[in-house]
Amino acid sequence: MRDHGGNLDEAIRCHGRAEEDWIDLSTGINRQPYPVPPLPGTAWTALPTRKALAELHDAARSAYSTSAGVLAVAGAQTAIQLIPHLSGPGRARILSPTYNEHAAALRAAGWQVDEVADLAELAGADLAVVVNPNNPDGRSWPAEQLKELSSSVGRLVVDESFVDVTPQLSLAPDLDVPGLLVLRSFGKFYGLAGLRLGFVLGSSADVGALSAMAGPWPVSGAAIAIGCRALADRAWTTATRTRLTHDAARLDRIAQSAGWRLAGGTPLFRLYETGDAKAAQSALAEHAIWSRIFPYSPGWIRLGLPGAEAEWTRIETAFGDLASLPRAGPQ
Amino acid sequence: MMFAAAMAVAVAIDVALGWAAAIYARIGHPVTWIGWFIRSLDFRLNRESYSPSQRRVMGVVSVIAVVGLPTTCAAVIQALLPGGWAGALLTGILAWPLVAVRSMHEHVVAVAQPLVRGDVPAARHAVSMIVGRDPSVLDEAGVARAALESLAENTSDGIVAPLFWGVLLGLPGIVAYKAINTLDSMIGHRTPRHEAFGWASARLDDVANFIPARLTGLAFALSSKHPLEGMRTMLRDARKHRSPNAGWPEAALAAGLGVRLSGPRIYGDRIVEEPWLNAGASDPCAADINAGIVLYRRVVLLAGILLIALAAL
Repeated sequence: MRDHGGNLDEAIRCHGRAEEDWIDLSTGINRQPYPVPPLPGTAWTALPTRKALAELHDAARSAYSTSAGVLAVAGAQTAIQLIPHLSGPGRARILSPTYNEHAAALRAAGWQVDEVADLAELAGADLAVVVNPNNPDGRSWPAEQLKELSSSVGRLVVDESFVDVTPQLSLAPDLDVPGLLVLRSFGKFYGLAGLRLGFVLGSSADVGALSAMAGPWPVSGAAIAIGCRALADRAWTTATRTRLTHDAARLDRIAQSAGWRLAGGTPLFRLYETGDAKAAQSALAEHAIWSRIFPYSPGWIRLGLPGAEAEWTRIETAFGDLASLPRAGPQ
Repeated sequence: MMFAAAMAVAVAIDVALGWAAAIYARIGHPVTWIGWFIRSLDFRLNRESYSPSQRRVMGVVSVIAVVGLPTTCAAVIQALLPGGWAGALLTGILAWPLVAVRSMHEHVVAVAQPLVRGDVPAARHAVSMIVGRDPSVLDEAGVARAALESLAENTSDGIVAPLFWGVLLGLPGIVAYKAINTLDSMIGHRTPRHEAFGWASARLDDVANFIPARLTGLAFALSSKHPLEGMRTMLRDARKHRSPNAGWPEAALAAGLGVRLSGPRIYGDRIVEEPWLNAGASDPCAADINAGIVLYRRVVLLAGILLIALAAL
């Protein structure tokens, strides 16, 4: 298994306690999810119809303000696994560090993968991947710059899994460049990661080819019913954007009180420089708060945002203890 | 003819000035404004859950809105303008952004220059600005072919056709044509998403280009070294093209340069078999793009002379 957030199994193995005792902040999933409506029985009993899937695609097109081709898939992860098979393997470049499934899926499909640090170094690749805004550091690039880049690579994949709070960064509204694919995640912003829903946006040709690979029922009836409802709920979307932005600033204040420095992030997750990430993770785990650290960085820790007020109280208590500890490493 | 004088003014201003990048950055371009309108209708009205016939109706509604609205505005403005030379001058200034003589020239020169130096990646990048194909798989001949086909088609779409409708109907004519052509380029594709919704746009564009495409072919043939042979090749090959119009300027340009154009092409992973135009000739090289640009200049000159002659009538 590759190293990921959302690995609460490991937290329980190393630090004990029951699953429900933990506050899992190791991912960027919104912890105040969209309220799931009661579903019609057919969402579970019938195969999803083409019309229902078309309605979900329309809802996504509206929500993402795009007229591009759209395909619903079982999470952006599914798209990441399908895209390497759209064209024959060649040389891929990935703007790194980032979500490591892109590199893994491309390598598994026979691509030669180079990880580069700057956007300009992607030019010339047969396939290039940019996560915008990037996970875990929150770096972002304006849409115009990415469109410009897309003409100097064979295919550009822009993974917008964390863009929902900052839609002005999204390429979706003017996706008229050939060879450009945009991935959108449903589970993170709507807090329904278990539903397994995401979207690929792109040219009709690319989306058609991906649709053929994904088969006749790419997502469940429940995902269609909930997705249609949630994507059309603009009031919830607006309120959630405001709350997440506000909560991100609140978490920053708490983290800074413990001497951590903000190293990046989006309103769905924050990245802090702690000096000693392992020690910081263990200290939070003592309070049953699970976090994400990175094998390639000794000091970085990533935290999702707490949800209910009770969770915030526990976070504040945990950070109160942290602040009284001697600093683990150099600042 | 006041409209012919106006179109001559528009061409003259565009040849002299073009549409400066600074203006584009500030206010965009009339075609980009129409583009925004089309895109917003596409994502509001072209719903995947509609039946094909509903989508076709929505496509007709979109065409009426996208062509009707700016054309009505243009007709009102035209009616308010004075007659005579003052009217011709003002109409010409307003029509100037709708003829793309200089930008076409610049875009094709931008492909030819790196290709002559042997810098294929830079030429690919430049050609990606003017064609809808994935250029990453193209070699020198492929880039040259794409650039020349684009030159032929855009001489018709970007210059001859707008001028033709402008001469006939003035400002509303040229505005309506640009709206129709922009609709076709954005939603007139035979893809699952646009097959039904873009049907009306594609058909209307075929009608609007019927005469201009043939005139452009004739102009390319007349501007070449062997006009009669050019016309013979055009009459023989033009109908082989998948588009009812694009074959005419392309076949005439191919004959004028002594190269073959169109032919099999790669879309994604598929090779689409298309017949060659001027099949007996060889593939174009970098130098042929420069020769094509010379022919293009002669066509523009010919159009200018014709406009002035019509204006003097």
